Amino acid sequence: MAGEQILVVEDNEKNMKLLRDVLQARGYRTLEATTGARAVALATEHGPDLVLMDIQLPDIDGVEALGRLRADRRTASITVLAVTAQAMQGDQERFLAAGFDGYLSKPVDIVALLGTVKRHCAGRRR
Amino acid sequence: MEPPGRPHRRLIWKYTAVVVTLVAAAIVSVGLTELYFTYQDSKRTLSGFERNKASTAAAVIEQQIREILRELETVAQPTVDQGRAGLAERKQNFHRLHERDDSLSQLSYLDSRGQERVRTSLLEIDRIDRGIDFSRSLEFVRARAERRHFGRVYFRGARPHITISVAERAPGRGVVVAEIDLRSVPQVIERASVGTAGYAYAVDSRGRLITHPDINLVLGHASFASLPQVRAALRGPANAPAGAATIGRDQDGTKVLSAFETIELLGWRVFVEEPLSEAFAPLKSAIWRTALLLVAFLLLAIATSVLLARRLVRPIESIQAAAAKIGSGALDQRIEIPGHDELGALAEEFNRMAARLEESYSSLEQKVEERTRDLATALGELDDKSRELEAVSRHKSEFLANMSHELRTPLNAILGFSQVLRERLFGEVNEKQEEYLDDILSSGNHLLALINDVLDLSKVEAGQIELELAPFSLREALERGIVMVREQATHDGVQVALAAASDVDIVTGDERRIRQVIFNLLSNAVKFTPAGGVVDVRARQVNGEVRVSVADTGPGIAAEDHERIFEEFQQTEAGVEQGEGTGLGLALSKRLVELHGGRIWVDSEFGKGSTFVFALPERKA
Repeated sequence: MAGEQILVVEDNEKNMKLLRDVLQARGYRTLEATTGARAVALATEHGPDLVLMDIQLPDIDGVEALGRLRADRRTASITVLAVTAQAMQGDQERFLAAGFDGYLSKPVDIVALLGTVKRHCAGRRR
Repeated sequence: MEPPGRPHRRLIWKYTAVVVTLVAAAIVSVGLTELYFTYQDSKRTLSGFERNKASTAAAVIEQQIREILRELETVAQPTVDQGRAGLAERKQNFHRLHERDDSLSQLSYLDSRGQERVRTSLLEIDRIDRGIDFSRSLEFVRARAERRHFGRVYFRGARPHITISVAERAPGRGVVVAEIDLRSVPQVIERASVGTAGYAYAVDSRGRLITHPDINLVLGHASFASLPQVRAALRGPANAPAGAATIGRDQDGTKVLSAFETIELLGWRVFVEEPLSEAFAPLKSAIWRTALLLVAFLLLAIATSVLLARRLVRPIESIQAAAAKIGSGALDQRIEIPGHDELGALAEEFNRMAARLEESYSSLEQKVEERTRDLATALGELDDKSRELEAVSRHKSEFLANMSHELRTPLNAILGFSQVLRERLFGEVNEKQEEYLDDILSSGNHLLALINDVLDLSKVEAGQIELELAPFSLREALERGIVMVREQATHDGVQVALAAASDVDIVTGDERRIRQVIFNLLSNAVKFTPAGGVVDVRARQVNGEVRVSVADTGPGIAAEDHERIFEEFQQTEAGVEQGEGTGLGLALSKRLVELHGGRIWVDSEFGKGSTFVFALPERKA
């Protein structure tokens, strides 16, 4: 088991629990942030292998947070996936254009989520 | 526009022409009539005058001849003594006659046998019984037959002579023959001539000249029988009254006014003639006078009519000029025409009209201004409204996005936890629990589908869907749609077949939306087709549109439901029983097809399967 560290950014308690439990069940280490600022701070501090970023957050939104990560040399190369309930037409294109490395719309298919996470972590190790 | 000035110039000439024509016609007709009657009158007068002259001359000559006849008749009496004494008595009687009338230049007595017995003459000595036989002579025979006889005129020198013979009544029936010098005849005739160039002449019953001013003609024994007036006079009965004036010709062919009278006793005609040029000389001057008058009056008429027309046209001109000014925008223009005639009234009316025009124009300007202001206000309001609408629209789409987000967030947890359990990430679940988890997942997915469809529909309703039109392969879209339902179809034991005509491939439209429609129809068809059934997909060109049909062997749809199933949340009984559909798929498909300018409908009979068809108009790229 890889044991990669994944930062989960999610302001909804239930959804945070779901992701945390699923990821931990699959052997990933998790960091948790419920705000954008906290996410940026944790990412800077720990340098996680992957970030699952919610977009709608209480303070700065996911896009802004991504911008800050990309702006910092230390966090610029971290893979960041958007995991969001913003699933209107054009949203996926918008987030990919903003610089996210992937996009998963809520409700997420757990199987698909795990597959995506695994693929990105493997890519990172290679 | 016609250049100003032209119309009234024409008007002037029109007036002038009318007046001049009237005046000229009046003068010319009066003048001509006057001339005609003057001509007729003078002709009548002149010829009456000529005729009087001729009659007088004829009467004088006839009187002379009758006098001579009477004298001859007094001596044409048998003498008492038939012998020598009788002859002497005749001789004495003859001498008495010679003395009384010297025009009797010679007298002779022929006895009943035609023998000349006595002859007396003014120039020769008397002869008794010369023994000359006249019994066969014309004067003897005719006189005895007709009691008297006039011989032909003959000339001695320039003097015309005539032989008149008178027979005795009874019983001896001798004849007295007289040779008469007609020297007084030319004088009488000459006196009958009129004017300075007029003349008179006499002809005998055959047209031979007896006397004429031109003595050479007389001595040349000229005949006037060929002159028209002479011929006509000779042809007519001798006692016929001479007709009205005759236009004849003289021997040179000059036209003459001619009248004649007949001397009935002798059958002669006395002509009095005058060349027309002289006869109608007064008439000619009358013509000149009339012509001069005509010209004078015409000039007067022209001048008058020009003046009149000017006076008439000038006010019209000023009205016209004012109208032109008003026409070019000078609404304060007024016409000043003195006088209270119709033109004055017209000008007044015109001024009133101009005033009203000015008034209504200024009020029009005012109105336009008001309207412009109103319009600006309305436009402003409209702008506000559209901004409001824009805000409403923006709010609406924000609301939709928020709703989507807020629904998806709990759904994420619901579906996620169910899936985690179902995938046994945290240990085994029993059969009943698995069944329930499946129910939760299916209901959750149904809810998700519903959310998606409602959002789409709301966007269509709000006009927020903008088609991204581009050419794409319809064939490929159909194939991908079939791939998406194949798993379900295989699972349900349903066969899906595609038959696209060769001319169907690239169409222009919003590929994502068309695929949405195709998928909707295909999944419906697969859903409602029982195991062993067939879903038949066809595409072809019909009348310039592309038609895609999806036929199934499902339960079919009753005719009364054909329209209804395209409305929101309207499902067939089979659909309701199925419990899978949102009741929005066909409604959304219909909106999407119609957004493309196309149509969608269903051909179905209850129990015999259904064929859903949508048609897209062909777009020229």
